[in-house]
Amino acid sequence: MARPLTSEPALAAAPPQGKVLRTPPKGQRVGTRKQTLWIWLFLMPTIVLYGAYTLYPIVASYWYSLVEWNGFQAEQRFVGISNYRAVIADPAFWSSVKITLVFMLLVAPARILLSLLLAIALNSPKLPFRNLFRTVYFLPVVTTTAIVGVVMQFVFDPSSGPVTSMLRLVGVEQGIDLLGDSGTALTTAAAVYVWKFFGITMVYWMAALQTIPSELYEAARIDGAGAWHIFRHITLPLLTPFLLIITVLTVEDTFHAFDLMQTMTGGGPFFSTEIIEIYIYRWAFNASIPQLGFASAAAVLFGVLVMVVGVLQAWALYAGRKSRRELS
Amino acid sequence: MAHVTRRSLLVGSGALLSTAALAACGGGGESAGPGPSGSLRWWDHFSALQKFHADWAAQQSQDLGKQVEYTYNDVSRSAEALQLANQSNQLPDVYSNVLDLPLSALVAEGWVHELQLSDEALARLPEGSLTEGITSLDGKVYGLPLFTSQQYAAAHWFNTDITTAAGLDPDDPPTTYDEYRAALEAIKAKGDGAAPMILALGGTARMREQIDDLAQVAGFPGFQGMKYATGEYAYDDDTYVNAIEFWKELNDSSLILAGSGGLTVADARSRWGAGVAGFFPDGPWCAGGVKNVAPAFVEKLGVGPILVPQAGTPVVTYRGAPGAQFFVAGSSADPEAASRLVESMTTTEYQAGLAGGMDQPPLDLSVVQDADVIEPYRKLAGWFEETVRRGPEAVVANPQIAQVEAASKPISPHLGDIVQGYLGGDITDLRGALKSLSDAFSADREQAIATATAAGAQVSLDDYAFPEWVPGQDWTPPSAG
Amino acid sequence: MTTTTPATSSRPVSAPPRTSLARRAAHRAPWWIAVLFLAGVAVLWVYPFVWMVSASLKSSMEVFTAGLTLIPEDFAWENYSRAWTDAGFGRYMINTVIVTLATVAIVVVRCALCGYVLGRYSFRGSKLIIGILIATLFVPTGYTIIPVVKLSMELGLLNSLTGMVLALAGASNVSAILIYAGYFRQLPKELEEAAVVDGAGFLRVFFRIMLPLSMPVTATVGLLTFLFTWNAFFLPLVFSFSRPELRTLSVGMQAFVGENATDWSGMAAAGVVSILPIVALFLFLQRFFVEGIAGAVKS
Repeated sequence: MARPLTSEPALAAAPPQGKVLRTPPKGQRVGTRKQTLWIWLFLMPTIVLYGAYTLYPIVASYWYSLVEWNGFQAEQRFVGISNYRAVIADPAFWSSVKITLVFMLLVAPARILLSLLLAIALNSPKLPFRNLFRTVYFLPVVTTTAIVGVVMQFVFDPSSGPVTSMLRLVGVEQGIDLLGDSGTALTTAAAVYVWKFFGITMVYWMAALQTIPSELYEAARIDGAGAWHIFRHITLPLLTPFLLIITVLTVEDTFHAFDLMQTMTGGGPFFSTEIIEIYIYRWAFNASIPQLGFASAAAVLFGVLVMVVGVLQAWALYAGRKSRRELS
Repeated sequence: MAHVTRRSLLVGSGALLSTAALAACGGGGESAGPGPSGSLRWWDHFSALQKFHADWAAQQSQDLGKQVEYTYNDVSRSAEALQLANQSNQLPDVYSNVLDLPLSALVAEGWVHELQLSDEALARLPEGSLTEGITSLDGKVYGLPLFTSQQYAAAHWFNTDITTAAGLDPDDPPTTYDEYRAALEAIKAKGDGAAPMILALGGTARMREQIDDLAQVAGFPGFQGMKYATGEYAYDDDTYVNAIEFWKELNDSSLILAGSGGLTVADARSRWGAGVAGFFPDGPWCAGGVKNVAPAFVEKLGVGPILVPQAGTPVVTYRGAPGAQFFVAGSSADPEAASRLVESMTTTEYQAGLAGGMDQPPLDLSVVQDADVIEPYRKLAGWFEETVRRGPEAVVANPQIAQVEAASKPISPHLGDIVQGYLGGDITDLRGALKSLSDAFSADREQAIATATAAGAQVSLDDYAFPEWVPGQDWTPPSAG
Repeated sequence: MTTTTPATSSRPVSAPPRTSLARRAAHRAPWWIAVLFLAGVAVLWVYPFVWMVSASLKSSMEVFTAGLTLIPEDFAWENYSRAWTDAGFGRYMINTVIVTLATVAIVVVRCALCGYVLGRYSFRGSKLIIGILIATLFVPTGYTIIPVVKLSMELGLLNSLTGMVLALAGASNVSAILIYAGYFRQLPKELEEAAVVDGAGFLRVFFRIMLPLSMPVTATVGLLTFLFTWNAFFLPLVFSFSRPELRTLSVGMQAFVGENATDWSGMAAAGVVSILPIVALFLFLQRFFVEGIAGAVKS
């Protein structure tokens, strides 16, 4: 039934295999009305779903952040920017911003650097059981974060959890309440988060390492270069551009620790693990009288923060790409 | 078109179809609003009454000739659940009151329906059960009170196995701070591995209630930080500071189970029921809660009254009028049947079952004396009757205060958070933190009064002051004369 | 190939291979030290899971008191039946399976369609669409939950599995679209040309040529969406607040702990039941999982 829809002014040569083109093949530019119809038909499911559940909510959040509304009553009273003022004046908001950033600083370097070491080890065919190790280290990634959070509560339980029993074994009688003490809770949560998502960063690095041609290593070895020398002068420089991408992905990831925190600490004790997502949740769903406008304002500010960090990183990425291009 | 294409399309639409099918099977009449296909939905958050209420629902299904679907929601979730249910027009026909809004706002927003209680039912309610502004509005009854207001949350439950082993007499429980500390020290000295006490520091709402009670019995002339006579907030009063310092001292001398910092109430109670600690401060519902999670442990329960700082301090605490526990949804498809379900809760049979559930004691405290309850619970109910008096409430004296309450905002960190933070070492200046709390409350109340006044309410700060209040006596609302 | 892991030693091991056995053994030694070290950490890595399985088979009392012993005195299989029936995890499992499969189907279909036209055609508005997609790539999820709830409620979909599925399937998934677009873009044009000459239309080109070719991408997108949906917590939490029977496994787990604080063995059994399917899937399809995640870096 279908007609030939495209007249192809065979323009550019076929794209080089396996390499992503930056511009779409020019050939299909023209197209009939029917083709346009098909194109939009294909886009429809995404436009509807994505529009309704991603775009509209973003826009709506901005509106809610300008009203006072408790969710119980129908009334939404327009209050201008006073929600923003209230959020900015709330020390607990800034404390949650700080906690979010500290959490990021605890998690991201550990994940990025330690997983690089592991990836290098696993990348070597000489290492016995490397597939087994890869499986084991990746395993926590696939498990449900919310369930891990709950299980960890028990693992770290100060009266009968295995960690406490282990500490008792080595002579620490008064068990340390790693999650229940505001001094250690955030660090413990960060450690669990590293454990949980370590495998992802490891796989990123392994993919990056595989892009380095083995001839390079061989040539270097023939020249008599030592392992450290090879690592320092071949592996590392070639990995630098990946470092940027991996950092971007990992940092973004640390902003979304809601599942783990909510199920493991709920933001406590005494707000010591209250990342912004939990702060928002608390005011939107968990307050005695929900403050949806206030929570939306906090959410918008959080979005701005994530965006600023994202833009900074995108800029770094761009700079990195440039340097890579100059390198090759 | 090639059949492959069609098949692919079929796969795609099959996915969509299966989603549509979900709507049918997963949803099960959800969009029909309350009471689909002639059934009544009943939600509450009374964990100790789960079994009793499930049975009662089954029995009422027969009496009403209408299926009654009873659902228990954990208290920490129920407000959120109701909020979402309301927004999606799915409020249950009958639900327990966990909403932090004054009755007038609930009525105005259509959350509640007038209760059509028969005269017999009204006659069965003890005198003073219904209060204008709390359970009723303009003479119409909206909420049914179930529980007495004569109670407190800071009773001291203990595990008699542990206390007896430590040489303590279960019939002579500690009543003062010193006696209590000595009892804890005795358990610690015995060294059986059980902690002297457990405290649900993570249950900050409960911490708040308990410290409010402890401050009151130590002489704070008001409730929830507000002085009755003047209406001022004074959380930084000595009574509050001393009560919190007492817990802090117990905590610092390792008399509280290590790791209590993050325990919720249910968590702490279950652990206590498993025998990890001697004492556990909790409300009367502790007995019913334990019965649910560890039935065998009920036999080992003992209870002591609220603690006073020094021997000889008169034991008296104050509470307002009984609150509304059950509402009928404004959107109920069959408010008459829902009302009848609520009305059934006034019967003697229900009241006896209620007492037997050992949650909060029933409106008529005397019912407890003959009900099927454990001895400590009976004893506690007796103490309540002797020592809890009625305190003044602004909303009862001036119903328009409801508009102020509707305009007030949650304060954070609250008293319970401060207690948790101070015991955990995150707050060092306790009095300063309590002062900020008072200031935050005062500021919010001013803001709320301004909002309410702007909306036409006749309210002022004076409505919160009750200069004529006499300590140690029941307050009588002005209209009741 | 002598990249040593710094974990073992920083000394170079670069001597050219000799036939002497002793030399060979010396040469291999650092690797075995690395294995020992990695194995030690690996034990730590899987310990929480081992502990969970062990706790799920102990009696409630034993799990409280037994400390570090991993082998239960008696195997208490009834923990599983308690979690499955009494705690409702059977129901939660069905919900999770339904929600996950439906979401994966919708996401794969819609992302393939969208990625195809964006990757292969340049039309009016295509730049704008790509721009919007990329702009929202980093919008934090969960941040927009309030409007999502409001919208679902207005559509009458709140507190239903349908609403949950639509919200999960509508949540950005920008990277899936971009993966598809990137993949379709690099396919040689001759493929279509030949088909068009044969008289194939738009639909036919897509379904007969493009879609079958994109199976590796579909596998990746499908698996990653599966992983994401199976483990989703926030949306299912909000969508099942007032209807406990709609809970998914992750939400049910939290509720279970809230209601049965000391039933550690039941909790552990529930956790095992919830995690087992996804772990099994991972073990069988490991390659796809790993490649899917690695794809994020490569592109």
